Amino acid sequence: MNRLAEWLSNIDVRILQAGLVIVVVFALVNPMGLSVPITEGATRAYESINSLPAGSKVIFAVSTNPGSAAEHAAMGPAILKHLVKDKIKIAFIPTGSQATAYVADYVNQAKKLGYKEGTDFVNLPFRAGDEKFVASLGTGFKSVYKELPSSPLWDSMVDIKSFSMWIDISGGQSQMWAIAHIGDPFKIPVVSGVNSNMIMNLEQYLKSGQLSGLLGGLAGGAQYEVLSGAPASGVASMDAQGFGYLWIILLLILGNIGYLTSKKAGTAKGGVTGD
Amino acid sequence: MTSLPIWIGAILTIGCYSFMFGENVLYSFCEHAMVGFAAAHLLVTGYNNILTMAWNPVFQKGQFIWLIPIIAGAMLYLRFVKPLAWIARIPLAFLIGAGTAMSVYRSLSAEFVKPIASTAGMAWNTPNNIIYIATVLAGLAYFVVSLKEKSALGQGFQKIGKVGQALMMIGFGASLAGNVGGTLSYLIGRMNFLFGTWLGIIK
Repeated sequence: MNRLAEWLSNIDVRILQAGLVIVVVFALVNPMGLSVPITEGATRAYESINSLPAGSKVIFAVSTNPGSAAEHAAMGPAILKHLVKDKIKIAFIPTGSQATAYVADYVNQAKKLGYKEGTDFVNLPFRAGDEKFVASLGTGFKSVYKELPSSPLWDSMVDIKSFSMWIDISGGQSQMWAIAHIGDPFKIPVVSGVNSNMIMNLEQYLKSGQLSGLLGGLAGGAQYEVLSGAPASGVASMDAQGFGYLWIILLLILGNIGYLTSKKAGTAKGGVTGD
Repeated sequence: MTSLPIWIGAILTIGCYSFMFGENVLYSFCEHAMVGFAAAHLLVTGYNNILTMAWNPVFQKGQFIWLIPIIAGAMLYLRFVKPLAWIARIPLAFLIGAGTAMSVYRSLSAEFVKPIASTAGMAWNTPNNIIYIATVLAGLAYFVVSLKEKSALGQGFQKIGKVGQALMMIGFGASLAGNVGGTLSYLIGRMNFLFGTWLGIIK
């Protein structure tokens, strides 16, 4: 028993990581279609966007970077498909310097779905300034993009009040800038898609009505896909995430058994090796 | 046939994961390439910003008001010229002042007053709302340290504070679980790429 406990306590971390990879790949190759529980934030995000009349204009602000791309991989395309289906006009705005590549992806997706630049969407360039930039969109929307050429859609976007919603896909703080400088002062609903670890901090803004919807990580994207009746990569990844969680829970249990048994025998060391 | 960018992406992904077996040449290359690309991207984006927002308006459209940010930006670099380094403090003070004003406005209005007002006005009509309000009150009680420990009121606050502490720990645990979920998302994304886009095993 003690030898088993010691082995459990000192197991090479690379074996655990390889196990996680195997479990995740197994679930991706053999999808089982586990159910996706829907949160209040996702429901409200879907209902808010669904209630926009055709022809409304929304800002699709993106501050995705390589560190958050995997978390936003499902929610962004799911929302975009919904907007295109409901014929909502879109202004794509990168709010982070590294987001321009991801905005280009969304633009390509919109084109593939039949949207035309200038009439169905505009692709606004990145501007430095972070929070100051978002605030300036509220106070002087057009003056931020003076060099943009005329187009039917761009000409119809007179100021921030031309927009019915701010959709924010972010791994940082841009949803807070949107709430403070766009949502609250101009009464424009803000729907936010964030990394899963940020959900806890943002729930209060959903409760206070400052956010009209909240999606968290890959699961948030999967929930939005289910709600909009278009299951895609998010739903397909949920089995893998569920299996990954199970693997981690199993390791937690085994690790604790090993630790407690060693502690009882007075040989507990704790920690892991190989890192 | 799988295209060259996908092959490069696959090799770089494997390179990043090779860190599991310790520092190696492929991992170091990936790490340095990432930092290099990010720096290059930032430089080009910054250059474009200056060009489109300030330089072109001044020298092509005669909008001389934009000379002010150009000069202020140039002043920042005077910190490298020792006798004139003090000049760099002027635009820096402006930047810090504007940034602070903006975050004070954001913190007070959006992050402080409105959430508190909303919580104070919340109805005790659903289990979720009751848990929410109880957690806020118990959490606040934990941070009340000015009451005498031996007084009845002080002991009462301490007991409620203990509950608040436990509820906060549950909250932190849920946040950590979210972090784990995020990390899993990265792995799932990369495995989808390797076994789907690259190798074609995942349909």
